[in-house]
Amino acid sequence: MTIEIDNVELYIKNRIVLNGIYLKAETGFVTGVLGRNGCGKTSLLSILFGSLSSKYSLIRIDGRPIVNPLYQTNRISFLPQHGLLPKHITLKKAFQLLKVNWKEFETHFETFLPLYQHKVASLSGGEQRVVETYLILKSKKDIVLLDEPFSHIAPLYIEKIKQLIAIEKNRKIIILTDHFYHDVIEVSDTLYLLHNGQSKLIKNIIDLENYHYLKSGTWT
Amino acid sequence: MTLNIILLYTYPSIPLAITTKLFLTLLIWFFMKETTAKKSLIFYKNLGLSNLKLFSALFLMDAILSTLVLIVMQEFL
Repeated sequence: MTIEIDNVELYIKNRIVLNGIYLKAETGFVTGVLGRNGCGKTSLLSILFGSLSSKYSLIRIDGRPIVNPLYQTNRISFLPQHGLLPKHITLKKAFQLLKVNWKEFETHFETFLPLYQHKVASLSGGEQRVVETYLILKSKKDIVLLDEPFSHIAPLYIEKIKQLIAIEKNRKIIILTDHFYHDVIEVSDTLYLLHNGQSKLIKNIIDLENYHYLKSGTWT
Repeated sequence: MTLNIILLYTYPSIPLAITTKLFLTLLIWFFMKETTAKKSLIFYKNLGLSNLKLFSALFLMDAILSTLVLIVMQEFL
């Protein structure tokens, strides 16, 4: 399965944020999106998900244009940058609602074992992030969008999440963005950079320096 | 619930109660749409629920419960 987003034009308070975006992602490959703060990474994922309307955008799945917001098709899940889960529900309820297996989660994250009946609000920010990232990654959807999945998470958990991404990509389209560019580069098969509102397909990591995303000499 | 009690003591009319609930639902919808609270709706969108479906369901449940409460309480007044 492939998903393409094209001709995106997004204005926020008369400021052009995205203009001239093309991004293609497919099952079996992780697509990473890099870019400076405020370049429109989150907006791009939100447009794809359908929670943000842009002036123009064309989304195609396997070449067929999608008219309605993608989330209404129940084929996509989105991990937003800021807290996903309502604070008042328990982890048990969250796993039930998103139809994800808790037992399997326990095998990956044993320290969460006593937290099954706990409310989301009682978890630390990092713990919430681990649970949210896992839930979205493991949800029974074809397309997974991850906005900053590595932020606020301990290094050991980051490694586990990267392993899970590598497993899940075999049956899902995964598009992710984060400022932890080392992790994004490591886990991604295809890399895009958002620069001046446009998307650039990165074929050589050195291009990240050429576009001034990374300081000159970072990779050389 | 507080609203139900107020309505019960002031003007216990079912159409008025439902209209008030509709107004409040629309107000909450507008508030969530226009503020950063809209971020919390992403969870429900992940479940495939659009804003329209979510707030319609909330209004329906609220309207049914309010109607039942008012019918029962009117018997005692």
